[in-house]
Amino acid sequence: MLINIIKFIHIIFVLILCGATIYCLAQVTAKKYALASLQNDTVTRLNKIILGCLGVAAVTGTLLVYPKHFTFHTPWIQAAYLFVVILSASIFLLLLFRKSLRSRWILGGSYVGLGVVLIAVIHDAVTKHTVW
Amino acid sequence: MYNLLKIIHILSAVCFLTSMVYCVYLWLSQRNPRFISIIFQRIQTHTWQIIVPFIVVQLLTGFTLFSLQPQKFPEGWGKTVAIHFIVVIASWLGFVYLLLMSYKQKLLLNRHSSYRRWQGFLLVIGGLALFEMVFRMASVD
Repeated sequence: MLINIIKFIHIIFVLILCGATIYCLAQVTAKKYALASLQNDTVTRLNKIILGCLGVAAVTGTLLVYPKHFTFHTPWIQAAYLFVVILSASIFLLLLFRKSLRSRWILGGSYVGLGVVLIAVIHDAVTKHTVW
Repeated sequence: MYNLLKIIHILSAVCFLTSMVYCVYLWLSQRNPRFISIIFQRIQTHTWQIIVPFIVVQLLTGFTLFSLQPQKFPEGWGKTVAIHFIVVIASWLGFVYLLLMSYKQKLLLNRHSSYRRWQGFLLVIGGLALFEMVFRMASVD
């Protein structure tokens, strides 16, 4: 039962994480938004939410490794940790350079990249094999 | 085949949930009845262009996944999840219908509607059904 609750929390936070990334992508690529408002409060706040969700998803994912009969040497789990580090670093950089990032293309490209990494993590978790 | 469908199922769930959450955020953040037409139009656009198509994808992939490997799911699981899914869809459509009613009242009678509480109630019911559904999905390997 406890494992199911942890898995439920893990899934909910991953869903929020993916949804927030899609929403950020939609925001930064929308034509009606001026470049000055690209780094607006909503996107910054969502970046912080994504960072928080990544933390919770990593912790709950770690708690699920042994009960689900995996080890930390399982290739797809190692790849998932690597992807989490890449995602966290990217979001951290986006937050750090939010004032200097002025190109819609770079911002949009960053979120597309984050989406691709998230799809890779989902693929690994579903197939139990890594694309890495 | 099974894994590909499962990935599509997860990604479509992300898309339709994101759209629903955005609509609810829009509805919650704008309480002024003057903006009801803008909110109604945006939510209606989201419902027909994003939510409904992805719900169809959810249904198709969900039923296919269930029929491909029925032994993976516990007894009565499919029926329970289907009921929860219907509750989620019905409460969302009810929410949009009440939004249409309040829009019409504002437009024709210039009167502020009292549907907001009912809309909130429907959203809570839909949200609870959604959480229950995700919890049941999490309990399956």
